[in-house]
Amino acid sequence: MRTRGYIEKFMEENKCITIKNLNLYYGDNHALKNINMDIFKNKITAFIGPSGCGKSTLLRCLNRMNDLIETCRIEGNIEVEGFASQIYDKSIDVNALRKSVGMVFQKPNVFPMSIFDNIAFGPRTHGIKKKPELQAIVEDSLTKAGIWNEVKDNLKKSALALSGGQQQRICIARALAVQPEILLMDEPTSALDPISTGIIEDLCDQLKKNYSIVIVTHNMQQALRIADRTAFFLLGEMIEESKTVDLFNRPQTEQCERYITGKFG
Amino acid sequence: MSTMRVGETGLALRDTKRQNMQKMTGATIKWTLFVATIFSLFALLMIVLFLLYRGIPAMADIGFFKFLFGTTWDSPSSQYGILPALLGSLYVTALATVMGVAIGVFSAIFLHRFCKKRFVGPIVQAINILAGIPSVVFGIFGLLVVVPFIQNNLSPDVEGHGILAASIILSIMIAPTVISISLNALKSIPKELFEGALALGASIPQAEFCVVVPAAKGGILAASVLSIGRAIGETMAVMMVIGGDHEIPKGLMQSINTMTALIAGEAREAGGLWLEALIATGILLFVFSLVINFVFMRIRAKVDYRFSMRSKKKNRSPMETLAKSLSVTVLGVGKAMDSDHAKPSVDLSKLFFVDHETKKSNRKKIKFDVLKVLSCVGAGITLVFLASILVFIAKQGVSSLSWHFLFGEYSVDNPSIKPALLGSAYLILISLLIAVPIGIAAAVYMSEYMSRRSKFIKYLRMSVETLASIPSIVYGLFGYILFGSIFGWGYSFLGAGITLAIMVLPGIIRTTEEGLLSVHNMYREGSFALGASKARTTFRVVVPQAASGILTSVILAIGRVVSESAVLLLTLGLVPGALPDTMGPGTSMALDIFYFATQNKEGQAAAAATVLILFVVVINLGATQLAKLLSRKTK
Ligand SMILES: Nc1ncnc2c1ncn2[C@@H]1O[C@H](COP(=O)(O)OP(=O)(O)OP(=O)(O)O)[C@@H](O)[C@H]1O
Ligand SMILES: [Mg+2]
Repeated sequence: MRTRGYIEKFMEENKCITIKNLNLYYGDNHALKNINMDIFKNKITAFIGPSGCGKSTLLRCLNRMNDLIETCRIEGNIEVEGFASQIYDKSIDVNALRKSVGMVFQKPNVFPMSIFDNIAFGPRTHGIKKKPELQAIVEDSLTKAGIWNEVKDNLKKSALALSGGQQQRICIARALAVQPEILLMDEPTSALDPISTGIIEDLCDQLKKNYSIVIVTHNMQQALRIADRTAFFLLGEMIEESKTVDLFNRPQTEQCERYITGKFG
Repeated sequence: MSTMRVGETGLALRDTKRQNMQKMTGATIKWTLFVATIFSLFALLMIVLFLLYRGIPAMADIGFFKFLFGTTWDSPSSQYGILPALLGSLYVTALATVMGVAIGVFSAIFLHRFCKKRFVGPIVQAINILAGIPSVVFGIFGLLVVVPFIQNNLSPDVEGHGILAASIILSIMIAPTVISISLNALKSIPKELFEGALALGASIPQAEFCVVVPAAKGGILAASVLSIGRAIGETMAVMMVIGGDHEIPKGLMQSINTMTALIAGEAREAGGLWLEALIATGILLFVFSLVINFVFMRIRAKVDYRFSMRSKKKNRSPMETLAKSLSVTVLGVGKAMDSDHAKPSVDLSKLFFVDHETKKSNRKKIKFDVLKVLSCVGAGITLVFLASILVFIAKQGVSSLSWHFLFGEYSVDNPSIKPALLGSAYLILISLLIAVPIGIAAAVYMSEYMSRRSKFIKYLRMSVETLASIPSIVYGLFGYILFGSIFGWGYSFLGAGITLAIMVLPGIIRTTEEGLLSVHNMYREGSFALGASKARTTFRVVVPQAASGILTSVILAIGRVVSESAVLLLTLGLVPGALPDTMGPGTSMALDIFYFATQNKEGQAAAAATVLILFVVVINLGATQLAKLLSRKTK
């Protein structure tokens, strides 16, 4: 008991997001039910669960992307490291929040512009105008996303000319270019082939040295491969959350066990 | 570490100041866009108020009953009874719509089913050319070809001007719209329906006419209603062939007047109560266009609804509906009839099984072959008219075309269209300078800044649609009085330009908004997720992707401005040879054509028409190519 307390305390100092009593409604649809959880620094946290259980919804709460949905109503608190009050507070600048909590989407959504402009879009948004500075950021982000060598000779080319896997890495680089602390990824590999998937998984593993990552995945092998912690959701509730190995080897709840052994629809 | 945090200190330092700036510019941008949006509402309101303000007292002076049901229109004795022109408008519109819709729908069916595939593209292109021909060109074609034809072949004792000539011209004018909308509707019907019918042993014409056409009837109906609006509002072409006698229409060859021709013909010389009686006539026209537009929107909403239902509910796919209806037929004819009531778009069961059992099958098949022939005839008529217009104009015009005619100095004996070319260019400049920024801003506000579920946006869209449906002569009347007399500008390029700007504004808003709405949400999300503001997301990510839509809208607006003549007759005057001057009267390409035609200078009219048609065709082709190019670049 005593040790456990210490560990908790230690962990607490390493938290980057704390979610408290979060409830979310799409109109009458109660999509998230009283979620309480922490996301840890420099760790990869995976969200798993059957389709429609609210994984994406929760992820989108963390950088307030749900603000864009008109029917969406949110109760509860989310605290993000570096922000003085909880993120749904009026004093919070949404754009600053989204700058420090980056997001990568399921479908690669590179803008129809050159590779360079795609990466530079974020920094330019946040006031960087000088070409050398931008160039440094672009090179740095592309390198971190592991695609610099593939594209360095044609940065002026349209990003749409790249393959799906490359586009997704451009999206990651684009997210990194605004220097976020946290990276949210919603099924980033579901539209990709196994090789591109492998590259992106390796990338996540490298990135967690400097970033905290939350990833939604339908692929349980993927969660096992890369995630340090995993949270299992069902029908808008978070059923179970723990270290990935524990969750997969010794699930505490029957629902979770049935899901990971494939007995759920 | 050192490479990882490039530029971070800079970012942090600039943050707060930049955020405040950003908030302020964001708010400014939003307000600017909002004002532009309100402008279109304001324009509509102005036109309505102005019509009512000047027209209603006139009606009261004349007496409502006398105005609506009086048959005399005589300014010296101050008698203004609109009935003959009102009936004239309805008569001509009805006749033209029946003919135009018949020709148009059959042509569309021909193109959809019976035309060899490799000819479809060119024919559609040709029909687009027909759609782009300015109404004043239809007018001279009517005046110089159709009227003499009627005179020589049908009734030697009448002049040739009148109801028949006007209806024929109008029906050709509305056919292209009917064709393109109907063709779209037919194309949107799933192939499975057609194949299902064939699988039951129907012939190709039978399948097309019994299954596909009924399924597309919503779209076809919408096209017809739209064309009624176009026909009732058409001014110049009708005015040039209608004859202009203020008489109750009785015979087909009779020379009568329509409301639009009455306004365009008399407004310039009218004053006092006379002018106000014309404004009251404008109110009537406006009311008609409102009603027609309302019906059109209702039909379209229904059609949209049906198709959205279809795509949303997967288990109600057309294939399954078909399958259902097929299984019903096995059970018996009576039940099949019932199911037809529930799903009117699929009446396979009734048609085929009843046919086979009652052995009328053969006679029915012949009926469908006749319909097939009719559809070929419809397409034939359309193409023959297009060809004869083009050939006639070119043949007449080429001999008068010369360097001097195009670019030389104007004189009465040796006229040139240089002033008209410059005038049209100047009008394009003025009207687009006003309409394009306002239109784009309004569209951006409506699609990006307004809640998609709000009531207000519904009303805004409705007012834009309404503005778009107002006949151009009503715009002309509005500009004539507001700029010409209230502002005291008389005929002027500025007044004409502003009036044209208001006229093309709704089209620009609509096309731009469509382009913006078609930009996938994932791009907006991608930009927001990087911390970009609303304004930056909108103008750097969304608007560039809608560029092709915006460009198309601008080019279409240019086409409308150069083709327009009714509005200009009332706002620009018609002073051949006058070079453009902001506050002075002048001429334009379309006006010059009208002028030459009324001065019996047929060669010059046709030559100017040749130039105008070429210009419009080039512009339309350019628009299509450009849109293709841009959309390829972004996709
Ligand atoms: N924009 C929206 N408007 C209304 N309801 C929504 C919206 N987005 C999601 N929902 C609803 O919220 C619930 C959770 O959806 P969510 O997309 O978060 O599920 P998910 O776990 O990400 O599923 P998947 O694995 O299929 O991506 C679902 O019932 C869904 O219908
Ligand atoms: Mg999801």
